[in-house]
Amino acid sequence: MIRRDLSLALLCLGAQIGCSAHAMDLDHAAAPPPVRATGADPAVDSEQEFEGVWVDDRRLYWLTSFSSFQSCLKADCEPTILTYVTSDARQAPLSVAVSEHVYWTLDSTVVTSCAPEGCGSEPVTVTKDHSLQRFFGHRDYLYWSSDLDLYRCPARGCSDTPEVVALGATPYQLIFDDDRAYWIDSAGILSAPIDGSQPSKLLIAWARDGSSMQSLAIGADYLYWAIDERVLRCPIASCNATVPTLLATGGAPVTDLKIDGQTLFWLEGDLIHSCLLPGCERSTVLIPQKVAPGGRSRYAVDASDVYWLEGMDPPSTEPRSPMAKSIRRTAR
Amino acid sequence: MNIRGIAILLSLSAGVSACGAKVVGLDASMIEASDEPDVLGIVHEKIEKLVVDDQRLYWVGTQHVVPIGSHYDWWLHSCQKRACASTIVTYDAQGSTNDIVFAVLGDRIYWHGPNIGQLASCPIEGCGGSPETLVPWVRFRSAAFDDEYFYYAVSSGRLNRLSFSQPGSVQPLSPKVDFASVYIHGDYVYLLALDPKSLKYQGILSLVRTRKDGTSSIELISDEVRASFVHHEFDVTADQSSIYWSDNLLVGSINRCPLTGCSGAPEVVLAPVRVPQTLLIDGSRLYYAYETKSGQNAVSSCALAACEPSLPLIEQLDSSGALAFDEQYLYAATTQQDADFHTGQGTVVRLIRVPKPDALLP
Repeated sequence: MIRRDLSLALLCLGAQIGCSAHAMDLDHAAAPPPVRATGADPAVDSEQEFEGVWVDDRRLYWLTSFSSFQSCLKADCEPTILTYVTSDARQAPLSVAVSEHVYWTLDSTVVTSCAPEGCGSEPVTVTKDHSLQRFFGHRDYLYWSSDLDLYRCPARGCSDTPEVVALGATPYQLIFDDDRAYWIDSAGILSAPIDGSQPSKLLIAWARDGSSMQSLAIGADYLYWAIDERVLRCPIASCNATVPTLLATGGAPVTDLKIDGQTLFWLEGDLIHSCLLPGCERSTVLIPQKVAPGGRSRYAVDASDVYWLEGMDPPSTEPRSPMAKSIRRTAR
Repeated sequence: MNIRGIAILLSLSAGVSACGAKVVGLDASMIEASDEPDVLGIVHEKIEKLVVDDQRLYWVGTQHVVPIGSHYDWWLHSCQKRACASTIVTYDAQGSTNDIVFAVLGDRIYWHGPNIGQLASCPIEGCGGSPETLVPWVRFRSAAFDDEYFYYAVSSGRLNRLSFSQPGSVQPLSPKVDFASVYIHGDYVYLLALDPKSLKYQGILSLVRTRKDGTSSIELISDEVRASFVHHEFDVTADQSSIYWSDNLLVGSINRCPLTGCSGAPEVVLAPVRVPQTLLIDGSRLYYAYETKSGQNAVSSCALAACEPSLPLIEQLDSSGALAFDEQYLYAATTQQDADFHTGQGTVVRLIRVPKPDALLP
């Protein structure tokens, strides 16, 4: 049970809204640029750059820049590639979230959902909110930040007004355990019941020392977060009454914390690090690794593998950052 | 009820200030008669604000210039309620990216022509495209009129007023504060004080007031106004004892405080309401415009003592400001199109009137 919940929490990845786009297509849309899946390493490669990668028990999901949101079965990828939506390359990037459902927006206003196995006859319009900022999936709900507040609606679609999860909360990242949602804001780390049945509360006050909270993760009743080069944790039940434990100190700012089972993962620059919990006494750098910069979900983990957007140096004539043309994977 | 003599704030959705001087033909927007019951006329412009007095219906219509963006053409019209399509008067027509404000005071209509910044006036019967210019140039974030003065809040500046009889002299009424949503009631100007530390156009804001003659300090009414100016209209109105406002969020509410201010949290009149916007008080009844879903606006009402919302009285409202009332009727502009996106020449909008709920009672 715990294992499943942790895995789901890892998939509740936020989508930051880009600027406007208009066209929307589904499975029957114009074919996206070719994507090749291989049985080994790399898992998937493309003529387009990848923007993000996600994984669950069965499927691998990816988003290519200015193009398409797709997935395939991990066990047999190439014949099972599924396209949820394709946008015109001249338009804004798609924003997506992956949980028990897949979600996307093409116009920064309408969020649409489908089952991971495909949209069937029609995708569902979950919400239409001109003030939509970022959205997240968790279980059978879509969560999103609007003007001032955090809302949720069932993935099957909203009634007239959504449920209020938290007032005054517009998080960049939102994570979940069985009962509560957690996020970082200017005051620190806050939490509220996932159904908004109680007001939010401050778990960890942000020390006003110029440090920067970057990322949150949850595992085995502990809350983990990164501040600059450090990874800390506290027991969720008593975070506001205990001194956080320093778990690891990196050589570069730590971002993108993820927990799967007894392993904590994070990024330091373009390196994926991991350590075993609970002590995290020794961290390991995954090899080979060269995670592409930027992107919305630069790596993903499941029970057996780590997947990442592989950074490839551009032609010497192009003064730009490494391109992510492949999703690679390696055993954990 | 004679609405004509009451100061009316009519502020259209704000765009970023820019100078887009353009002359639009006075006859560019036409009105068609209709055989449909309760339809006064059909126009091909988005109706942003609607006002009625005893005899006439007044409105600002807009059409966005293709490609759709912040620039639009606007027209200031009126017509007689009894024969609208054959009595239309166009006071002004311009291209603009900025606020448009107008009010009907006595037998004249006053407006701010935002493209060249003039404060102008005409007799309500019209002036053949030659309005009187009261002030050749004035800029503001929000403004309102009373019988004698034009009150306006300058972005990151003061609240000022200009006398219609001596329009050359500006009277500052407040220290420099970033104000929005100027509303006149009794001897006071009510305003929203934007928080310079926040995102400015959304947040938890303060509703304040100051005397119209500037002889009082700024008094706090409530510091718990939760509003956004990014996508939706925010509105303030009042009755004899209370000031009301719309927390215009997706899960929004209508709230009130005594005119002198709340000692604690404001009283929630109605919640949740999806994006409540325009508020109109008619005696003991509140009319409010809100979203039924994105791009679909409606009007409901309730008795103010204990607000039990009615079923929608008007659906498919063209914009939240396209609502007014007189003794017998509610007036509105409705459209079958998505109210968020129909802005061009294909727009079809009906000017309608329906009996007020009280008028239906025996």
